[in-house]
Amino acid sequence: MANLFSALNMSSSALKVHQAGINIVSNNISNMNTEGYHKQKLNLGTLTLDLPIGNNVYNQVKTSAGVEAISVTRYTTNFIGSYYRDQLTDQAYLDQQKQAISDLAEMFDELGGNGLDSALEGFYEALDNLNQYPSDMSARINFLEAAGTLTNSMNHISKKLENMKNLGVGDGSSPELLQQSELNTSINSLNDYLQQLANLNKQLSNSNTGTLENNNLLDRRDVLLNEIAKLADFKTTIHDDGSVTLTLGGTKIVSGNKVLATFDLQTAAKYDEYCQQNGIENKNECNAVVRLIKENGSVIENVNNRFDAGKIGGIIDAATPGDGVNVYSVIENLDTLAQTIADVFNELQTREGAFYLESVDGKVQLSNTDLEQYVIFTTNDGSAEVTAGNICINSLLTEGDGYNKIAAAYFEDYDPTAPDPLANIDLNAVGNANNIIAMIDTKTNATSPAFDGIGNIPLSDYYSGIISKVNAALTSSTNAADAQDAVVQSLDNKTAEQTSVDLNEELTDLVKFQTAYSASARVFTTCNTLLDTLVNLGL
Amino acid sequence: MIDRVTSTTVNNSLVGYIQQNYADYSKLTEQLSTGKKINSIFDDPIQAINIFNSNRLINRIDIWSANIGSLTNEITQTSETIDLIHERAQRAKDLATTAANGTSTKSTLQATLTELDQIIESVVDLANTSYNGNYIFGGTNTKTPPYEIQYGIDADGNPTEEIIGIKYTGTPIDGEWQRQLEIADGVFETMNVTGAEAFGNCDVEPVFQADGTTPVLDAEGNPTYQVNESNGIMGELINLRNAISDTIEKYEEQENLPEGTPQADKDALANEISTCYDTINGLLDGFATAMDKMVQVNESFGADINKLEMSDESLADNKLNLKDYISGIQDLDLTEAISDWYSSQMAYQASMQASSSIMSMSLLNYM
Repeated sequence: MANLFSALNMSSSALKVHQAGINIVSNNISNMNTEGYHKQKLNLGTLTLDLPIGNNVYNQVKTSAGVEAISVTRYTTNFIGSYYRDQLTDQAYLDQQKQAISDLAEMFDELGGNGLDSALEGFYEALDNLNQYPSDMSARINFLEAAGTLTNSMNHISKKLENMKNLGVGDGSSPELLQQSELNTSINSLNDYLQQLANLNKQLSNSNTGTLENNNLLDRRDVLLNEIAKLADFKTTIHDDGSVTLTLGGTKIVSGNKVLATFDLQTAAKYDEYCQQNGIENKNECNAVVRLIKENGSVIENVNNRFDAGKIGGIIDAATPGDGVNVYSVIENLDTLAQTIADVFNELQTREGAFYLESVDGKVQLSNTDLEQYVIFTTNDGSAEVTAGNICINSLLTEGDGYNKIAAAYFEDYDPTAPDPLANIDLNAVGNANNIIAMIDTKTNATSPAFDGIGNIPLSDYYSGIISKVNAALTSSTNAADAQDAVVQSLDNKTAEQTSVDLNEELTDLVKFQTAYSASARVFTTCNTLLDTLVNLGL
Repeated sequence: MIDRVTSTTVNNSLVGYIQQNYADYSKLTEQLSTGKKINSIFDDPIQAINIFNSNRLINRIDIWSANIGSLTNEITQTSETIDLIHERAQRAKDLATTAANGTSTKSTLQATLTELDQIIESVVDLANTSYNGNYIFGGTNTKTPPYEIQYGIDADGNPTEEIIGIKYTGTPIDGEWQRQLEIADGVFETMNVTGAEAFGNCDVEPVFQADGTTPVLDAEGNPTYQVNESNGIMGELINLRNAISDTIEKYEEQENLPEGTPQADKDALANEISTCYDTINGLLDGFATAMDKMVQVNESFGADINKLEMSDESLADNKLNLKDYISGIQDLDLTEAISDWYSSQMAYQASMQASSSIMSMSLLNYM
């Protein structure tokens, strides 16, 4: 009799277990498109009763008590999660770098016509025209316009580059710009993720392993860890209960259910203030400084160097001067170019023996009175140092008949120390364009000390050099990022192969569980009938 | 090794293939529409730099070519002007030869003098030719006419119409007279020659007393002149004019001899007239030298033009090479591109078709 009831019990447990199996299938199918979802599987086991068996076959049958659901396992990859996250960190860093260089390259896409090179060539072309017609008003005005185009396009590019830098990390002094910066957005999402992770840690430590709930939490944890890995290179320690401890550069950031330290941004100026107050040598070169504020209120200032990878590392590196090509180095190069242009042409314009035109009684003749104040290039902010951002044309040359002040003529034997320096100078020689020829000569001849700043190469070669560097950096960063993309892609594929849900598999399982369920139900009915028979027997 | 094939992996890879094929297809379409392989630096950063540098060089070559054009024009203009002045000088020399053969009379000499004055004026006009707004023979003194005719004065210091000199006011030969244009990197070619070099200078001034207005007179009561400089064809023309004018004066003196002048004095005057003809004769050599100088200047110019033509040809070659080079990097091989385009289109279509058939299959269809 006991056996009949146990069969009844067995079939009822089987019904329960296969019902659960169908639930798992349903969960798998529902989540087949959920990011980070790992396929789950119901593990079944035979239920046995611990009875003295002996050699009695009946007793042996008695011990088998049907099926039980042991656990729900989660399909996992056979490679280590931390390896995948390292790859994600590298990918995010390289992508960020590629993006930054692409933005730069776009600005220097001379095939698309960025204008600086054509402005420089146009400037020389105007000089050539001026050489042909040194005393012509139109040639002189044309030259000043070409020079204006050159300074404008330098100003324009410089402004775009500054904006680009500001977009990354702000300008170093304005808290508003820092607030709007890409770095701020990333730091904010990082803090957000860290808080989410602490919450997950808490939930994980409260749930039992091998349950549906626990598996779902693990899925969410892995997605979160991937997102965090894309931002920065944390050291991740995963505990037995699935909770995670995050460390960055030796400081515990998240442990258990607590965020131990949050990231905070301040401007370079603010940091400099702090350094001066505390007598610390300020070695920071980035416009934004990341600091860590601990739970207990203590602060670790300047942790920029702990971000050497991930997206945040990419942003900081792109805005920190270094050996590589970035906005900063390009701005510096352009500033040097601007300074050199100003030096080279101002020096020729105002050198001893150079003469400009002067209108005397309606007739033009040469003069060199106050020549030194008629420099061609000057700065629009009064600073002595010329940069791509502040270079402009001397207003003395653009106002009224200032165009006459361009010193086209040059006399080699002019001697300012002679008793009458002008005695040997033919002031009617308005066709003398020797100074313009000297200016044109700088197109290829860069031996003058004014060219020292750019390594004594012609201006256009220097500019080509900037573009070449940017393009080379573009090539290498694109290659590196593409290669890393491929690595991550292949790991993604591997993960998908090992953990993703396959519809056919699930449908098969569904049919399997359904059949077993129907069969168990039939067993149940059969046992019931048998019992019925037995009961009627006694009547 | 593939562990499992799941719906997700299949979908992912199918999407990947379709995207790759679509990217290839649209890239080829863009290339076909522009006819260029490299449309921005992102297509090929390194080659883009080469294109950029070559384009810059082409622009420069265009400027040099234009400069060579300007140089050629101005040199031709200069050369033609020198030829014209040479013609005038030849006419003056012919006049001198005719005058010197001794058959001249006072009236023929006077006609010669009138024509000579016209020649001088026309020579000065030619030497003051301007081209592109510049006086071509003035060196760098481009805005003032390089030659001016100097006129004599009478005993009271008032100007007369007698031509006494042709003064050059342009840049001197030893000054910085060159006007140059660039015809290659750092190579500058001179486009002009000074009047002083080609035609010389004949600067003659009346001599005044200390007050600056009263002329210093000679024994015969005529104003005196000081020759500051006299050379080239300009000097020769003035010398010829002076010699003819002197001869006419002697004839006048002969006509005006009072009755009963001793034969000895008449003979002496006739002798002087004969000396005058000798002087005119003697000028012919100088004329020839001055005219040779013009021819010489012109010939050196001719050589310049040949040189320029050669430079221009080599610039044109360079430009063609650069264009070929750029075209080689940048331009699309249409045949290849179109066949690539078709095959990429096929691949794109095939990948979509294959994907749709595999994605629509599921066990669900058979349950």
